[in-house]
Amino acid sequence: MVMLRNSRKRERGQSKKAFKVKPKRSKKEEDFDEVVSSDSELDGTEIVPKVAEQSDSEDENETAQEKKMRLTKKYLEELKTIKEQNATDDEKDLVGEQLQEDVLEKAGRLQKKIAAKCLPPDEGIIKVLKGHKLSVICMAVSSDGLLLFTGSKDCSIIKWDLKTHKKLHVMKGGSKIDGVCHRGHVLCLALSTDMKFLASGGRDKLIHIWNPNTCEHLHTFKGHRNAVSGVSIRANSHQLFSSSHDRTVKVWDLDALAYVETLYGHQDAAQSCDSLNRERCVTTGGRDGSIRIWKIVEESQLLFHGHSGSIDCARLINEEHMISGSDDGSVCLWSVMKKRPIAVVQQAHRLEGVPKSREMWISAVASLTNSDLIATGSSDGYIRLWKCEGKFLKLTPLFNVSVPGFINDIRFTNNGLFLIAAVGQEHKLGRWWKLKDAKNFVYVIPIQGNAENK
Amino acid sequence: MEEDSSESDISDQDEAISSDELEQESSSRLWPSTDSNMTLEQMIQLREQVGLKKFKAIKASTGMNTQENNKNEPKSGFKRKNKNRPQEISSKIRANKLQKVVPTKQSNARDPRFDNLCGSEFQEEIFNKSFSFLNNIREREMQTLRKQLHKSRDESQKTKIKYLLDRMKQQDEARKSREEKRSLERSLKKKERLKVELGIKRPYFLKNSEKKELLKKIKNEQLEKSGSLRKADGRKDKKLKSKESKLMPHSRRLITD
Repeated sequence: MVMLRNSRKRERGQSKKAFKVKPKRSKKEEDFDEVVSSDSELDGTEIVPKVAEQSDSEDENETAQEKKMRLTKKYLEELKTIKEQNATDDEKDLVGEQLQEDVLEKAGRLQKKIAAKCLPPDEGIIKVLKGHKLSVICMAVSSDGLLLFTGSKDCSIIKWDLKTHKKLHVMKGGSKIDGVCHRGHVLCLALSTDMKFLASGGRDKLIHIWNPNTCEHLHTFKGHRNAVSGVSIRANSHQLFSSSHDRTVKVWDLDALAYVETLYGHQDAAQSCDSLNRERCVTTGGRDGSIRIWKIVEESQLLFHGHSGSIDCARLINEEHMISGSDDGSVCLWSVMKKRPIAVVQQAHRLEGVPKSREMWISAVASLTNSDLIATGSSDGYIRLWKCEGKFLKLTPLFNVSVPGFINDIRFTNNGLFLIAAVGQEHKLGRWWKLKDAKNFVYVIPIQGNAENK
Repeated sequence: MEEDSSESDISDQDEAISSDELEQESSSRLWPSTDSNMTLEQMIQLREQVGLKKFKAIKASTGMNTQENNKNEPKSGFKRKNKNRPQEISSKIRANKLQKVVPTKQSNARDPRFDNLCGSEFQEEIFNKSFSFLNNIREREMQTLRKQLHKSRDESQKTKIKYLLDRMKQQDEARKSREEKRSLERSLKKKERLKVELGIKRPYFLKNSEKKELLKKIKNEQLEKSGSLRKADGRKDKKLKSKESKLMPHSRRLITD
């Protein structure tokens, strides 16, 4: 597990020594991978990697302990060399820091301090992607930050290039189109980490699976009995979770393109779905005021209660923390260990001078994975960025980005450099208001100051 | 099972995986009841119906029914370490469809005619007492109507007003006669009660005809007082009497007075 991280770092480092050692390392990585790939909760954090029995040992008389020692020593040496090459005079003990980060990330409790370095973007830098005819509802960003897929109320899905800001492909939809497409609003999108599958769920109760590279249709999942409100593909795997307005959450397997199981529990329509690396997904229940984390393996669910209104959106920050927004205007920060939220921000998007009849529902929340940066969107014309103080104890506002319209979805790119917002004239679920000044665009907002992550 | 869909399009990848697995399994005879091997399509249909997880469980188990499988997996109650932790529940229990999420108040409509809270059964005395002010209003209305009648030139309207006036008058008279009757009854009952209390005699109730006669007498007295007693009334009585006496046998005629 620790070795995996090493390989990623190596690509960035590009030192001669690193390249030489790489081929040997990769074999051992696979071995360690086999041992540690179980999905059970990681209560203890293991710095020392487990040794596989069938690995190729250089000295067969060596005991397991001695082998562990040897391997860890090698790893530490390599880390040192990398860090020394990239290090400045000020920073010390980079190896220790790196190891600590790796451990926390595996445990799911990592929080990189990024928010402090973020700066509000200048006016001219925000790029706009125009193409959808009606409100843009949902989106999915590729893990390398180059491709973007957006779905909208005109039942179409558009593939964009984030470097050139141009449309690459349109998967049209609607009642007048022949062939396989969405016949209702596209409510949610999800991309797998290896860019092999794109899942889209809509009001027509269907989940379509597409090939993101060629945009061809692969399969349709027909199990749901009402609109599919949220889809999420578990990171580094081919497991699909879908939440729907029929109060069920379904698990699907993308390798076999088959339905696996249904999870019951929500008392009202499930509004959104999100997942990270673990075999769990978090869904929000709308008016039943609950957020549920579904443990697939144990066939159980964890119940969290909060918010006085309908809970519309939730995202996982790391494996242990999550953020949620509801239509009473409040944003809550949760920990998996507590049944009540840790921090609540009431009226997160209140504007001075606007009458109370114009309620500011929190329609989208986003978090930069494993960090302390959070973004929330409503219809007040601003995307607000927040910072988690301490170890997820409090939410403090950072700055606002002016974006007019209903902000139906927000996502950060994995490197934390860009914040992408799907904006429309109407709320994603209905037409309570129609803002005529707003446009149905996708805004790509650079968040300056994240030069550390490349 | 809630899964009704059966898929017709099977990708090549699908076939490759499942055929390999199935060949292995069919050879080792792990399928429940059939002697002959299930066809590939049947296997895939079963998998679609039941779900990938259960399908694998069926394959793994030796000759057990799906129902038995369910029975053999009782879910023990989940325990949490302290009460601040979120509650853990099983995710396989279906929620009640008709369960209300947002509590709504259903107002119960009440019919005041049949509701005990809206007063007891109709009692005329109490009604008259509490609504006696209406009589004054009615009098005033009659006065205004008379004025209108006097003023108006239109014949049709005059007839209408007349009609209304007559109606009101008659209603008034009927009310008054009812009241007199009641008051008479009350006075009679009082007298009888007094006599009974004093111990003089047993209670005696007058017949309806007797009550009528008494009422007539009182009316006559009143009319005499006011001076509006008409000869016609006396003649009416005479006429009725003579008619009745005609129907009676001779012997009884002289006796009645």
